[in-house]
Amino acid sequence: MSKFRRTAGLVLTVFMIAFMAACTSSGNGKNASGSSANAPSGGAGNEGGEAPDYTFGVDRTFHSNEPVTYSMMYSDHENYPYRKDWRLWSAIREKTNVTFDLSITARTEYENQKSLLINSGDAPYIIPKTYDESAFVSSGQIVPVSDWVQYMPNYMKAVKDWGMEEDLKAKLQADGKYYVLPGMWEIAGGGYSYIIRKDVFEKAGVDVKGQEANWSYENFYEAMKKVKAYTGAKYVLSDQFQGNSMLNIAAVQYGVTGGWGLSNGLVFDHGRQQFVFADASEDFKAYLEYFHKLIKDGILDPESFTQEDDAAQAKFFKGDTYVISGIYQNLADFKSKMQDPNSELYMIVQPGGPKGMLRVETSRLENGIMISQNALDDLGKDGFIKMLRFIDWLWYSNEGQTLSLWGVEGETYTVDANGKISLNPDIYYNGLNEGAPKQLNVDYGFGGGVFAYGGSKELRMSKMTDGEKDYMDRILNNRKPRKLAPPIMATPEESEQLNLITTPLMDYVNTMTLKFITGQESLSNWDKYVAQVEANGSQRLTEMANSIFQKMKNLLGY
Amino acid sequence: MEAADKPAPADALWKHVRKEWKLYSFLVVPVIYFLIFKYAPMLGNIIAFRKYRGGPNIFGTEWVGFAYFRMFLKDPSFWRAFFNDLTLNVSYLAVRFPLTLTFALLLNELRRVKWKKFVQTVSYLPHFISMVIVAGMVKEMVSLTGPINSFLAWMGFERIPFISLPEWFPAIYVASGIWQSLGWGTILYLAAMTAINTELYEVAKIDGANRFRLAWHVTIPGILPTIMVLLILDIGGILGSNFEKILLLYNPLTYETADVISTYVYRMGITGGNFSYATAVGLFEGVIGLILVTAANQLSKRTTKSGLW
Amino acid sequence: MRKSRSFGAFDWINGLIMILVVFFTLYPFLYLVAQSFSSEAAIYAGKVTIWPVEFTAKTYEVILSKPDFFRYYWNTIVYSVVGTFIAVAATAVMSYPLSKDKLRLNKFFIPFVLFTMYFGGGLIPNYLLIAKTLGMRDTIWAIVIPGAISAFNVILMKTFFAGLPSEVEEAARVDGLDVFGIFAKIVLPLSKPILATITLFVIVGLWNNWFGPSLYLQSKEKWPIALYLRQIIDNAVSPTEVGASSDQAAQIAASVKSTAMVLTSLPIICVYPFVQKYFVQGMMIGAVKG
Repeated sequence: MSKFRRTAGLVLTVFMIAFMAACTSSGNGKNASGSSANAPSGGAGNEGGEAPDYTFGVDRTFHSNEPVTYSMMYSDHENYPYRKDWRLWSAIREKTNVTFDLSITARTEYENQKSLLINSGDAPYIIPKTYDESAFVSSGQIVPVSDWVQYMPNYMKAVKDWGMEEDLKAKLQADGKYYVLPGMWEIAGGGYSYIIRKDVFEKAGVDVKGQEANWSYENFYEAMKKVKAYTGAKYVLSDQFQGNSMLNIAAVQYGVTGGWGLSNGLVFDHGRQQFVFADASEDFKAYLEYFHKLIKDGILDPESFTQEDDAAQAKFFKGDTYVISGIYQNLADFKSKMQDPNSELYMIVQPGGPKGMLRVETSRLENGIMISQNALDDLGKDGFIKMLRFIDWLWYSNEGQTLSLWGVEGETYTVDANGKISLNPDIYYNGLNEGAPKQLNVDYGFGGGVFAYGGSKELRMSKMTDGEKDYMDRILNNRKPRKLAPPIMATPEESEQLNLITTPLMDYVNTMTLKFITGQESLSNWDKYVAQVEANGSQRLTEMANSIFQKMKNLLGY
Repeated sequence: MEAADKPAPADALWKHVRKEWKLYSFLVVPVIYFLIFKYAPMLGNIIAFRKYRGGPNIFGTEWVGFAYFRMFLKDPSFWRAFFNDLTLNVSYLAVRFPLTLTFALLLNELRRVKWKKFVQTVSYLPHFISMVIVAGMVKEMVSLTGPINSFLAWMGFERIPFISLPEWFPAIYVASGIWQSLGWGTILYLAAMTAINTELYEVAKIDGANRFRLAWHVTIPGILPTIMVLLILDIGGILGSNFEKILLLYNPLTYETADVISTYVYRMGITGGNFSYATAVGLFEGVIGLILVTAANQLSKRTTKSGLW
Repeated sequence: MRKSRSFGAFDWINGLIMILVVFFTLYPFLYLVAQSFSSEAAIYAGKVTIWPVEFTAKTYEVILSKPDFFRYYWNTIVYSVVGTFIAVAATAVMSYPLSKDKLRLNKFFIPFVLFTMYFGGGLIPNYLLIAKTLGMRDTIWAIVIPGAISAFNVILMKTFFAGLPSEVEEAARVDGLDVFGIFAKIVLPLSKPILATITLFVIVGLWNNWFGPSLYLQSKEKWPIALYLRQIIDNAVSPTEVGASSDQAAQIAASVKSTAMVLTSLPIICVYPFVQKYFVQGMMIGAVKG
């Protein structure tokens, strides 16, 4: 053994020395690239002094004189798998002389790969489809882009014209900057809700259209009970998305967090001006009791939380169940798959709850783009600004947004005298042109999630069918907007701390939520749950969030 | 073993290397490979003590000492993972060990060589199946419409959503492990059995021993060293749960019993991006593993006179 | 063997136990095959047990009519072949000098290799090294290089080499062959059994590898079949992606997993019985050492 230790020691020593050398040399490399990045910014700190080699501006197409390439992550969606020959790529190149060096990742692996690339410092310049950038702020690998938006005319115009300043505050971090360029819509969307079999509901004696405006979750429960009594079905609601959509949108009305919106369990109490940990509150208990009641009464299928989306949909298509979560775009697709040709599908507005009749979707911000520090280091200041102006054009100008969504005028869509956009009749997209042979996203690459997610009210409405417009109207007329919570502007150290508390804490909350609902855990053990949540650091989390809020509230205008 | 009267050892060594340089030259590339792919990551563990924040230096940017260790030692999720590791492995070992031994003894009793070969071939097969497929099979077998539940339903019981119930996870883990390793685990025993002197059997038979007695008095004592070595090794690996299998089989509903240290490291590190923290947890597990193996090896040497090194 | 005893009650029971073991080992495979050929309705109703119910081969037709499945398969073949070649060559080269007692530095090198069996860099340091420092992210090298030499395989091969009769090598030396010639012309040809064993160990590992690819390979087009299969099992692949038109979607959704699992494990199951003895042989060599 001692012989072994000696040899191992020797190996390690030799190796340490070798690696120290390697480290210093790679350190030099870093310095070298750092100084080369600084040089142009120091020397050429003359914006506008020299004419840039590209055109940009509001209502002006970005075009680079020289061809340029920017590296970008790309989330490859399985429903419209990436193709090199998509018209999208050539259209962007023709207009701007820009090509992408794509780092293509399957959608399901995207979050992991993004985290890995950024945390290891190897991220491509453009990192789109970012829903939560706060975890990456501390890495130092992401550019605080709010320092640079002044160079993005279209972005600035949208912020001003649409009054986005308040919305953007939600993105602020501890240093008072934000690190993501969010997708911006002039108007909020409808979001997820429940698709129901209106024909069955009506036969069961529920006046859907008359009542939905005032439905709370309790009323919705009564309605589903009637459906169960009328049909004798085993379950009325067997959900897809592992219940995440249902739990999310109901949580809003109960003043808690759940499902996709589980986040850190904190909810902001605007009256008392502080964060509270909502997922161990009486509100949360009421929320759990509600869903447990659905399970107990045989309304909600307990498999909702584990089954595959396909299985849930199959039950709905077959007519075994009568309610399913979804987004408006699902409706057209679902209609075509119903086995009973007389079935009538309808998207209800989200039911209200103890906290009122609230709009679920209040944010006009979408997922967005982070910019890697590597871009600034490699391109230098001027090159970096040039790239930002390209991004500004593609994602924030009306021309760019229209291109990303509808493609090339004359090839994929036409515009009439009133500026109304119509998709060519041989192309299907999003419920439009049902049965057309080609698909806008699959065959052309337009209308995909990486590029097309923002724009004016007209653009948003242009992709809606009449039914969807009606759904939007019902939400706007019947549901009240709610105030957004302020962001937790944590320093890197604080967010690391928060992250370390949040991950296991919310694992536990998530697990227990499902157990209480499905009845694996009795609600009589509620006190035990609350104690365990506290043991997992909910208190500490809340205190940290509030002290951060106190420090920062002036900046946020509270 | 070699000439005891060496001149200055360094000189002698140098002469030796020059004489055998051709043979030593074989080692150049593989040794560099080992330094880069095996030893460099060991050094990379240093980010457990240094904060890593992207950038080109994979050894971190500033010392934080044992800060990350203190953090996870206070983290209930870490301890849950730690005890899950222990529970899963101890129960797996407790079931697998006697079963494998029994199966080996039974195989040894098979008379017809062809039949024995056939059983062996079939029982080794699962060892070669990808973990992805094993996990997929498990999920299909225990799914609500799968054969196990169909059987339960046929017997008049309720169907059970095994895969989402934490109390069932250890059973699933152990059962699938047995399915995979039962046959393969017998190989070393069977090898040891063929080495037993047949005269011992003859003598015992003359004494009128039946087959149970033969197994008990001859076979088992004959393979006892093998049994001991394997047992001790298993104890040494008691924290090393099957990471891939658990990653493929667990879900948030079953973290309570299924989350082990390695999956916890994966979630904190790869998914959560807490590189330094995850490395600290991983290093802790690695060091405990090393200590256990070393201790087990010493024990093995002392009791059976054979060890790993 | 002890012959000349009658086939008694014990043998009957033992035979029965063996039949049960064989049955339970094979049953999951049979079930998968049955499910993959059954109709969606039968699967969701839990009617499938061991034979296909309402036989249909639709899912196979759909999967096999799209190039995707073959592309992933092809990737796996490429990784396995390249990786195996590198691994076996490197293992042999390293093991040969280690098998020579006369090399005094082996006292240092053998523990140097053995130590890596019991301790290693964790997940994150390995990732940083391979993906970042060495820049192997999204390349075949991240799949075939990092695991190329394993201490276990080196020990196996070294043990085998050490057991070769030294007279043969002596004779070759007298004939004027140098070390390289002896290794290439004498030792390797004599070592076919161990080379076969190591080849098989390595190839199975590479064939089944999915975790490494999930960390290092971003582009889907580079994925091996095991990783794609994992996506299918985790429901991350929609029926349309597999190639189903909407009227087939339900059927595909019900049996795509079992079908994909059958198609992926088929080569191993087919080849395995013929090469099984090499695996066992490898373990035996290891046992002599252990």
